[in-house]
Amino acid sequence: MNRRPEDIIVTAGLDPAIQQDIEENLNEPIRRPTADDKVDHQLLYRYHRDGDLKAREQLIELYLPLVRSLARRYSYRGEQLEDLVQVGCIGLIKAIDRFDIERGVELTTYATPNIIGEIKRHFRDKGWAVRVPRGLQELNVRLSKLIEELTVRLERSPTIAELAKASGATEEEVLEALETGQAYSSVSLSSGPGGGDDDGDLDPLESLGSIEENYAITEDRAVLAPGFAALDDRERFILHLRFFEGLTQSQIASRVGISQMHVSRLIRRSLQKIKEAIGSAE
Amino acid sequence: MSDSVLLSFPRDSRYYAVARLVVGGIAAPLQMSYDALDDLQLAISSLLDHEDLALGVADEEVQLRLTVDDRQLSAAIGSFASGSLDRAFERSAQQGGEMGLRRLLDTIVDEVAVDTADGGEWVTLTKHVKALA
Repeated sequence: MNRRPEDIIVTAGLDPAIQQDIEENLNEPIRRPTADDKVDHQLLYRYHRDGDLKAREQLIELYLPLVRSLARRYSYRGEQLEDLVQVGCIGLIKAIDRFDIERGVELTTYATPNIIGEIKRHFRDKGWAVRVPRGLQELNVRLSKLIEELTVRLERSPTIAELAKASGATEEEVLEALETGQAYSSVSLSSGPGGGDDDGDLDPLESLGSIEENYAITEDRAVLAPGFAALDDRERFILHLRFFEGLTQSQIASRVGISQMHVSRLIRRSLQKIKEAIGSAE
Repeated sequence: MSDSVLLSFPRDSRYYAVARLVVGGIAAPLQMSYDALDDLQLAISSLLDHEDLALGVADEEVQLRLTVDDRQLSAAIGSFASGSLDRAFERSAQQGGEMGLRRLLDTIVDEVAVDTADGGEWVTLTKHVKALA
C-alpha cells in the first residue's frame, strides 16, 4: 500500500539529534521510499529543471499533511496549531526550493528536519516556551477549543465566567491565559521566522494561492488601502470581513474555518503588519 | 450607579498587558462576552500603540479610567496633547485609507468619544453589555 506524507516520516540519514527527536518525541513510523516518491521526483524535476511553479504548488499541497502532522506534535507547547502549520510550511517551502535533485535523497528526508527546525526556531525566537508557564499555555489551548464549543452551543460568544466554569479554572486564570495569547506577537509569516527579510526567499504564503483562493476578494477598498500589500490573502480577507462587512470574530472563525482565538490573533498581527508597512514606507 | 477604576502606567508596551488584564477583570463580572472584551482590549491597545498620539506635556503616564455600570464599560484614555487626536486620526486615514485608526475604533467598540478635560484630550471607548441569550 502506498502511504502518503501524512503518515510517514523517513528518519534514515538525518542528523542523529533530529532522528532521535523524531523517533522518541514524535513517535512516528519509519518507512522506506515508495512508488509515490516517483511522483515527488517528477514534480521536483519539473520545478527545478523547468521552473514549473505549478509543480512546486503541487509539492507543497502534497506535503502539507506532513507539516500538519509535525506541527501537531509541537502544539502542546501552547502554540496555536494553525500558526505552527504555517511556520512549518516555511520550512517545507525552503526544503523544496533548496532541494538538490542530484543528491538522491528523498524529499521527505530533507523536508522533515527543515520543517522541525523552522518550528523550533519559531519557539526559540518567540521565547514562548520559556516565558509562559506550562499551565497557562495548556489553559490557553484548552480555552481556544472551549470558545469554539461554547460559541456553537450557546449560539453566542461565551463570557469569561462561562469559560472559567467549562475549563475548571478561575476567572483570573482564564483572563491571564487569554492574555498570554494576546501578548504573544506572532512572527510575520511572510518574512521568515526571524521576522526579517530572509535572503530574498519567495514569500511562502504567496505560493499557497491555490489553497487560499477562497480568500480572494476583488477590487475592494480594503485591498487598495495602503499597507494591505503587506498582508497575505487570508489576512486581507479577515480584515475585510471584520472591518468592511462588520462580521464578529466568531462569525469570521466560522466562515474561514479557524478558531476564534486565531482570528483575534490574525487581526492583531495584520494590523501590526500594516502599521509596520506604512512606517517603513515613510 | 456606576463605579470607576483609575489605572496609571508608563507609555511603554511592557505595561499594556496589565491594562488589558485590568479591563478583563472589570469586564468579567459584567458577563461581557469574550468577543466584546477582545474588541475593547484591541481598541485600547491600538490607541496606545499609535505613535502619533503624544501624551500631554504634563503627563508622563497614561491614565486609563474605567467606568462601569450594569449596561456598559467605558475606558477613557489620556490625556493626549491638545489636537493630537485629530491629527492622529487624520494622518492615520491618509496613511491607512479606509483602515485608519478612527475606523478601526468605530468598528470594534460601540461608542468613540473625544473630550477635552484638564488641559488634555481623552478618548472614551464604550462597549455595551448585551443581555445573554
